[in-house]
Amino acid sequence: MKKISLLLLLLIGSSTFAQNLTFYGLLPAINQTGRINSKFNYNFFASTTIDAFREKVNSVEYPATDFQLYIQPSIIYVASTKFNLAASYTYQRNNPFNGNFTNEHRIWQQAIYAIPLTNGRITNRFRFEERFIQNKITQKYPISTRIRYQIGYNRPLKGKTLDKGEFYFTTYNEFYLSLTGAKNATYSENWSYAGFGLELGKVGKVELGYLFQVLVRNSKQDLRYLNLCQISWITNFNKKKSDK
Amino acid sequence: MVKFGLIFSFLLNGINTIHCQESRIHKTEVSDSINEFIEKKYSGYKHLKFYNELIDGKQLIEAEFQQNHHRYSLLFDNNELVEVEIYIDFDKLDSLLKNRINTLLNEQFSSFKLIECQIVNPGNSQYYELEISGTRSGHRGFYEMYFDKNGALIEETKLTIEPIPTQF
Repeated sequence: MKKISLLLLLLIGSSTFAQNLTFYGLLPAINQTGRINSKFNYNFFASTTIDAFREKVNSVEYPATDFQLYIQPSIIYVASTKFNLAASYTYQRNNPFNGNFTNEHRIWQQAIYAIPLTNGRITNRFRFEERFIQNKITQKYPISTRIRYQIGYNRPLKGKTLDKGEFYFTTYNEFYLSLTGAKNATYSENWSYAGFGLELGKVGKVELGYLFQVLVRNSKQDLRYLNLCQISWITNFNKKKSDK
Repeated sequence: MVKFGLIFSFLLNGINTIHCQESRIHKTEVSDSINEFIEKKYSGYKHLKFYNELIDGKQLIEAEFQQNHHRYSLLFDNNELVEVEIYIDFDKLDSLLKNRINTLLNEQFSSFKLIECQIVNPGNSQYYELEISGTRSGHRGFYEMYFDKNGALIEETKLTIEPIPTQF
């Protein structure tokens, strides 16, 4: 009986002190790829994360707002059909339209290894990030590092290749591990995504999906859950498939 | 895999833009004669899949399966078999043919790696399709190379490899 009481106390206690936050919103994104030469491609990815609803948690008001602006140009080295390397300078601005905004300058390097399957393809992505996050008090940008591993799967829903007017399915899970510098936890973030896209030919692809982000938001290990409806417009200017 | 035989005939006819589109279809959507042909000629096959192939407005049926550890791809036009492709181990080719192809590849590339090898239309109109990763004049690229049954180069196509798409 004592054990049950203790367990109940712990449960009640933890729910009282836990300050987990849950938000719902939208994430519009554009993703444009083009060829530089036979080995190198460029990519430009930009998105904004919108918290769509006003919320009140433990007497604290959280107004609907724009959480984040994200701009990510990158250079991709296409080593083979299965292996790509990439590097980027990325700019991120948190709370971009509020006075309490913070800037982040980020440099990263990544490797992607794809495993073709009979139906679709598995992708393994490793990314190492050097982050320079603005400290609003000191106005300095101390360095912190992070490693991310993403495992993904995508497949056309009709046939072996994705043709105009056809749908595809894509999903991934990404683990974020903070290594050095200021951090709330080592395993600091996790993103899960599943979406469906439509190939539109010259116009590119449109993709609609559900993105679930979990983030350790403070040193007490409180979490922030972000449920997002992601809509992406994906274009690729590499039209020519082969040269005779 | 590009349907080289069919495409080659289009190229000879001066048509340079090939439009291919394919979609998976169920076995029951394929004619009895095609199903019976595969059952009879390739008994013991595994993992049979059918696709509708639309190549420059022409509707074809492709059958893919495995038999005796080899991958097959058959192409049918109005229930008539028009192309057979068998994925094979390059080392299992006839040694004379293998040597000729190797010699030619060594002349063409400072270094190369064989990715995939197929026999197309085994029999009278037989040829070989090889996918190569090779370095030429200091630049590495991917190529599809077609050889006749004597090991002479018929045609080569430089392939453009797209990056693996990711976001964020």
